[in-house]
Amino acid sequence: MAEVIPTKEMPPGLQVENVDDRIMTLNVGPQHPGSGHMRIIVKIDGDYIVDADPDPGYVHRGEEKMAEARNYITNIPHLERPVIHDSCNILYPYVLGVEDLVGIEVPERAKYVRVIAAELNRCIYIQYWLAIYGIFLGHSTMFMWPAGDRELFIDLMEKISGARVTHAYFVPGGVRNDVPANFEDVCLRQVNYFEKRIKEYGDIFYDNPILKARTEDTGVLSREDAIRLGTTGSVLRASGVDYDVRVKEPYDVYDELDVHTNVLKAGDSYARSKVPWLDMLESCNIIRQALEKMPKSGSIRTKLKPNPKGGLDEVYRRVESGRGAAGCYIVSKEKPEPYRLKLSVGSFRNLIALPYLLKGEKLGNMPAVYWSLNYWPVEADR
Amino acid sequence: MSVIAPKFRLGYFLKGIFDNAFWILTIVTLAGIPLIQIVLFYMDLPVIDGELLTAFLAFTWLFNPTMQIPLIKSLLYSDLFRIAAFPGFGFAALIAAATIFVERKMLAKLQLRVGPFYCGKIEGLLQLAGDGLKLISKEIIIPAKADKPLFWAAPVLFVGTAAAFVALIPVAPGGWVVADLDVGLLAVFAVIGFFPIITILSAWSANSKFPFIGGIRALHQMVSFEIPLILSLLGVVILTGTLNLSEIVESQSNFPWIIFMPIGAIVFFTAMLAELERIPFDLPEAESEIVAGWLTEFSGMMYGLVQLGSYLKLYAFAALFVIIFLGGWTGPMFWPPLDTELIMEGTPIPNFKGDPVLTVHAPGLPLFDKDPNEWVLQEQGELQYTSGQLLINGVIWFVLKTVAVIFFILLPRGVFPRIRIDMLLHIGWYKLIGLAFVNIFIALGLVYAGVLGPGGIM
Amino acid sequence: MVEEHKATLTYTQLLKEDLGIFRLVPEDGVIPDYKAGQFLTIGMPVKSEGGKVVRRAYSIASHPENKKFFEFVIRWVRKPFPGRLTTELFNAESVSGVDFPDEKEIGVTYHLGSYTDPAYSKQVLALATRAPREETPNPGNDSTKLPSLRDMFYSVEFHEREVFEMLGVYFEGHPDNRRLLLPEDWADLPPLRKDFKNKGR
Repeated sequence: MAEVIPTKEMPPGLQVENVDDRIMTLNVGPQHPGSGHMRIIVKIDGDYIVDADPDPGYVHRGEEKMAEARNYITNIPHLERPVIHDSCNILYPYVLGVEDLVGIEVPERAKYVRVIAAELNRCIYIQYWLAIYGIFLGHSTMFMWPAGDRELFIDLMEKISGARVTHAYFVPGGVRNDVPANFEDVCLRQVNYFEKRIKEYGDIFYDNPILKARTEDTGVLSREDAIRLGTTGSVLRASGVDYDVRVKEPYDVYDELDVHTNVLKAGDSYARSKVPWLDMLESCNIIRQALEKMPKSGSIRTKLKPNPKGGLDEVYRRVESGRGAAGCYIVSKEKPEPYRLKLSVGSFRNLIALPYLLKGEKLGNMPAVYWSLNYWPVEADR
Repeated sequence: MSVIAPKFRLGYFLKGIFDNAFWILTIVTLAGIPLIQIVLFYMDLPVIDGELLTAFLAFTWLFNPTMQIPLIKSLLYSDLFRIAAFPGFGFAALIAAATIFVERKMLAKLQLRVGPFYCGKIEGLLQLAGDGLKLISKEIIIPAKADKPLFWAAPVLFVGTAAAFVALIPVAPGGWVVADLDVGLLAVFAVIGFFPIITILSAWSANSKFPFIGGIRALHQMVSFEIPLILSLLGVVILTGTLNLSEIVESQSNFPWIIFMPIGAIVFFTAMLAELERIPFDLPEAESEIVAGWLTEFSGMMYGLVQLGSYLKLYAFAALFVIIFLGGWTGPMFWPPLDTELIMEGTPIPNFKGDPVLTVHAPGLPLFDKDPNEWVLQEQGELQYTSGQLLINGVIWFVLKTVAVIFFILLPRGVFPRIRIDMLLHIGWYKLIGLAFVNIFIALGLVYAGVLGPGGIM
Repeated sequence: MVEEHKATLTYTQLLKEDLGIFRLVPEDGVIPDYKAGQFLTIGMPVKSEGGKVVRRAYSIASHPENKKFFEFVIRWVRKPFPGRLTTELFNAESVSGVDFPDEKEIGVTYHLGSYTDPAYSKQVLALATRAPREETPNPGNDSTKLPSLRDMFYSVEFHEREVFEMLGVYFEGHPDNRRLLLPEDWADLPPLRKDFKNKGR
């Protein structure tokens, strides 16, 4: 068996073989404050992790199987459940795919509304993620601040979609309902305020000397390994790969907006945690541009025929979600229901880097490395 | 129809009451009364106004207004009061409770939330009491393969050791300390040395992996930070020439030692944070790595006792910092001392013509009837009585300084993340010990240069 | 017989960004006899590897009768990763299995993307294949087998594990064919097969 990934250089004296008493197996999760809804089986030798085996599936719900029994419209609310705080982005590839299958055009205004909603959702997700990253490192202020500021965007999403978390806002052909009249002003105000807050996050968290000393040079994922492991999203961009689906394969109106990709070279936990923070600033930028360019009036939805059917076809569409590229593969067999629906999500693709990065790390680095992978267990399980 | 007690019968109810009353009476007669008699037989009873205070006399005097003040005074100057209430456990527990309240509210304000809000109507004042009640009412679960006697003993030992630490802290002039030892500082180090042992014992006895890792981490952390902790205080010992904590405080009547040894203070403060397992050094309880560290298997009031012990320890360490570096209870008087005559002979109150017609004696409070110009007035056995004014003044300064230090102990929790064990040990062994030696050399330099020495500025 | 000589680099010329001409003269100036096509091992201490002497063999480009110097024309080869189809397609976006009970086959579709090549990065390449399907599946021990792509694309590891448990396609050559998402004691049909019915539907 040719091992493609080279095994990482272990600290001297550490080995898995021929040692019985020294190795302790820890079940980190699924009921553990530092795991999320998954289990990592960690073998430690002293303070060093010699082996790590992620065991997802604790919250596997069979979304893909469920989708085969529901038609293209009734699939919408349950497909966003894997990541309810990034629900627009996880639904985006599905909606794009169904539009391709059914063959309808989306009105211009709806495209802009979608982009705004997707970017707002990205901010909501990253704040949630950042809050947990803060508490994983023992920084309780960083837990509370993003969790509180998240309300800004949740309120905005509530204004436009009516639901705080599970919006079910995107439908094939556009969006479900129009934005309220004063949305533009409110949105700009919130975004402007939030940009100030983001800078404060930097002051208390990212410039913190203890945080830097703790996360820099831990869990280093080199550029080559990031590519070979097929990581995506912030993990990939933190390792110096300039790749963002919004730029490389623009969907909707991203090609008309000026999207800047944040790339850091270091590839360590610190860089991986910093890229989403920069992405939030970029999202604010995109929202501002989209609000400016959005047509002030017009249709927001092309009506579908009742019970739309796809042809004898298959389609794969992908978008950039909060955790990286999210793809949706739909096989259609001339029925109202998809014959097979596969969600390819960023968390599942980033998970493969976890055992590789944890080997040889200290146990104290485990939460920092694990959560910096921008991993959401429920999404990986689907 | 369902009722709450379907088989209720008045006869059974009365029988239950009488049964209980019967057994209580029997046990009190057979065990309680002999126990009280034995205690009374061996207890040294105080002599008040020439009369031996027996139990009957105490009950009689309780309802005699003229004898109530002497009774309270005798209680105030008794050993039991010192241990249980004022300089000892009760005082420390009160400050610990206040610390928890302040910690919650301050952290909440820092993090843009309100903190405990509803319990107790005013800013969640009674939240702590509610938490305590909840912990008491919870079931205590012990792991099946735990070493049960050790596991039970660990929280009690922890609180006991913390209380022993508290007992060594003098809070006011004139011997207001539970144990006034000539080797007070050494005793403090000896008591601190117990904490890692208790921690590792409890961690080992739980027979579980996460407590074990937490216990090992706590052991590493406490043992390696004890060395800079002790070394950082040596400078003060060299300059004062005593290990008695009260004498160390009295040596700072003109200036606190932090002026001459800020390095020692910094080293001590950092080592103190590590000994207390506060964030940034809360690795033994790092929740995202090892659940709750060595506290993982504790449930109910066992956990509550450990928390109580750790907050008592926090108070004791803050108080030690105040005593050694910030001058303890020394500070300007809040109001000028009353005249001796005023207290001994009373204040003449004139009528509207200016003739003294009435003499009002100083209030009969136990703390205000001593000569304020002398520290120690009366000796009875080993006890030394202090002027009430000096006592109150000293306690206010002491508490103010202690609260300030506690505030700075709490503050990092809102600012810093947790650090890693190797970084922690690196700080302890490489940096703090070196700085502590620098501090000792400063102290030696001051002594040999003739600037300072035992007894103040030369 | 191996002899070590020190040599001086006398002439370099960069023809392209990855192609250059180098001339070496041994320290004693004596060029030994050699035949056309013979190679020479050149060692050089490399700083980044701690001063270790790294030796590589290079074909001599100069004529054997040329007794003044050794000439080498050296091209820097960007090494593809071992077993790679191309150097640019790396990441498996997804591996999805599709059950076709009517055709008695199970399809597996690999969606592959590229991060580095700007031309490829705009697109996703779909590789589709089919495996035979059995009515009473016995995952791992029946004929539903496919060769694993894990050696070529490391990133398919977890995707193939998922397809194995969800559709019962055994990937030969995959080092780690364990369950991923389903519980360890799952004893039913692979759940994404069409004959696994949703309860209540």
